Amino acid sequence: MTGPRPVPSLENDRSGGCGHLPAAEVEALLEGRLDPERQARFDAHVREGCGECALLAADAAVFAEATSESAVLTSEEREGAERDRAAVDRWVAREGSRRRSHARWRGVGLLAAAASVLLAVVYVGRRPDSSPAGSLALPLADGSSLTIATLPFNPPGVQRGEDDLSGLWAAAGDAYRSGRFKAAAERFAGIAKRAPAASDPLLYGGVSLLAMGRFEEAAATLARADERAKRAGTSGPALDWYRAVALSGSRRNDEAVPLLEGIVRDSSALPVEPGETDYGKLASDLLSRIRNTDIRKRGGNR
Amino acid sequence: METVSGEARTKASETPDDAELVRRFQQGVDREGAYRALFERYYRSTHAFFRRRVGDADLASELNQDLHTTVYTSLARFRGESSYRTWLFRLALSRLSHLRRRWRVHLDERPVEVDETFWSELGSGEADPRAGIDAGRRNAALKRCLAGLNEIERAVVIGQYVAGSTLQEITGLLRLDNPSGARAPLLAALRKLRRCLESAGITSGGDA
Repeated sequence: MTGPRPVPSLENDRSGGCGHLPAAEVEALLEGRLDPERQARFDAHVREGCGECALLAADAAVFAEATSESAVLTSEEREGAERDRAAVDRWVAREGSRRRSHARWRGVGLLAAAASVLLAVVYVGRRPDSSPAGSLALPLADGSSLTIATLPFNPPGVQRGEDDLSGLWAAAGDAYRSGRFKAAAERFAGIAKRAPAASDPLLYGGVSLLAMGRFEEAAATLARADERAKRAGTSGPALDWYRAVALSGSRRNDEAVPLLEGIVRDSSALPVEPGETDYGKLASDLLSRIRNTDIRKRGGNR
Repeated sequence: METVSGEARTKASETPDDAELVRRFQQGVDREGAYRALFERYYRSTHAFFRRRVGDADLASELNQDLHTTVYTSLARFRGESSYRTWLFRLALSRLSHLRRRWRVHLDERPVEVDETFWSELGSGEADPRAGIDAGRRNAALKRCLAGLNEIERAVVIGQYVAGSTLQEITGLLRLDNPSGARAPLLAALRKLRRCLESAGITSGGDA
């Protein structure tokens, strides 16, 4: 026997089900009313080694049990659910208020929205700090670290694309502002998928990853943000700054330094307005630290 | 422990069914009230689902909150081709699927290539538990049994015996903050796998 046999597909129909079980039969599986012959075939398919369907069967069993009328929840589960209830209540109250505000201004604001997009394109790097920011520790080559402020959250006022993403932005922003960066990163990634031209969700997602110390993932995410920003013409110092931080944290100072030099160069052309983040100064400071630690390392290696 | 059955029956007799609530939401008839009723009906159950499938209370809360905020923003587009409960299940699955891909614990048709030490650490008796067992049957049973673990347990097993990570690395990767780190879920996972593989006739339980 040379190894496992290939798993035969249960169905050719991949419309909305797990890939092997059609969507209509997922419902029947969940409700325990799959035709006996189909159930037997599904069970055999799982026994033959389809991991995806094994997961589906396990998930369906747990979901069916948890949502049944006779479900028994532990006290920990009930307490956790009450915390969720409070959080969702707050979110819905906020979301309802935002939607009512949107509805009032939508008809009047179309032209204003277009103008806002244009202004945002020009001024995206000059957003004033408007929310409390967290911080992250950037490790340096000499073992010290530099405290970097996270990007203040400023949700986009204009919806780009067909979907109304305001609810998703609100949920992601909540997580980001409260320092739940893991949840924030996931939510921003979800927004980025729904808005494939937007760079902002990837920027905030990248900063969330930085806040968790995941520098290499952050560098990759921010590189994607940069690609989108360049296509849309919305590149700016904030994105370059956090890309440089991610690259430096990933020990890729050879790539970080040119970015930092570019920020310093660009910032000297435009004055910083009150309330704006002075990325030029931040870049200049980090460049000095990088160069000083490099000199100390070279000195120590003599 | 407390049951929710009494509450569910009371709620069912006092409020409309899921389909009616969805209709009210989509037609703008007391939209907030319709959403609230659906939420009240399911939020505890979906939290329990995530808690049991993931194995971490905080992560379960994040997934559950994300699920129900997504319901709020997406219910207008629900076409009613399945029941609301099934739709909720599929939304929940998409969140789990995303987590599984991030942690690389999604199972598919490929065999699970465990390290040799897995079988000895399973502790299933003196004889080699794999003796006389077809490799395909053994791998299929292992996948079924892995699917029954929660996400953290599966991540720890796959990290330890497939990816070759140390327990410390796995503890850091999964951000486990209990004092034992990854060791506790690993021990729990091995116990469950032992029982599952025994019932599948793959291991002997030590007395064969």
